[in-house]
Amino acid sequence: MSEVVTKNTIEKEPLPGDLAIWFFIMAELLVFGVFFIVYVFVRSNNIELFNTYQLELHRIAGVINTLALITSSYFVAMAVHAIKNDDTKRTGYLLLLAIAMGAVFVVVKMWEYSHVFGAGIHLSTNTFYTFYISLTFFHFMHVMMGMVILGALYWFVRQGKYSAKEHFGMETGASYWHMVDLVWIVLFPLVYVIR
Amino acid sequence: MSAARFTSSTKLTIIWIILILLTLSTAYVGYLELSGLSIVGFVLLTITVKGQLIIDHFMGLRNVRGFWRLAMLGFVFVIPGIIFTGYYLTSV
Repeated sequence: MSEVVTKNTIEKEPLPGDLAIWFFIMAELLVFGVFFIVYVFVRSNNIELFNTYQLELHRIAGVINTLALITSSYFVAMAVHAIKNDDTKRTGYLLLLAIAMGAVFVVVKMWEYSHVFGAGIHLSTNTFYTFYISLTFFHFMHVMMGMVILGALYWFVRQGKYSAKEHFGMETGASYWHMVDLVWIVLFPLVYVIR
Repeated sequence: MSAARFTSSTKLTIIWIILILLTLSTAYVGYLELSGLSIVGFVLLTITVKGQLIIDHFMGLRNVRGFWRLAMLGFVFVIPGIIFTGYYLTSV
């Protein structure tokens, strides 16, 4: 009996957050997906160039940023878990940690850009850097937008707008932030590692 | 809100640790500057595993049936698959 109940419950599980955010996430993933496929296609005609300049990238910075985004995503998932348990204090605390991890990403990425641009590299330096700068900067803008959303979620939590019964907006914002993480876990190995 | 989607915080922590370990394995490949199709395949496999963990547990889609979970999983299965095909075709 309990198995039947569990099965039925699972089958009826609704989509977290607003349906509109899922259309938005899908559109974003399609855009990044096309970007990644074009990168692979263009690389296939410039393998030597891509392999050479890929080694010039600061992979440690890429690793730190990956760890920061994954950890930030973890804090957001924990924050959603906390609000479902009506623990608003812990939710706010976890959101602040998530924002801090996002800030680590921003600082490291800006440091990386300062080195790249400081070396006189720009969008038209070569095809590899065209992709590196445009792909990472496009993603960087999503991180910035995501941090604004996390800030707004924190503000709403402080205002007492979310609870175990009402956390629709929290799930919506969290889904966007996880999408930012999802894109980076493909982008980082593709641009920085595999050759 | 159903209680079934309430993933325990311990489970989330374990998944976070797995994600960190998979990231460090990719970082090690990058540190050694390894190349080749098997290395590319390994790194792309870690992307798929990490992506599925994020989609199912962090995004909370594990128990969501239908289009949306499949569409999200499509990103972490299809894109790495296409990337691998691209690298494979240029290696032969």
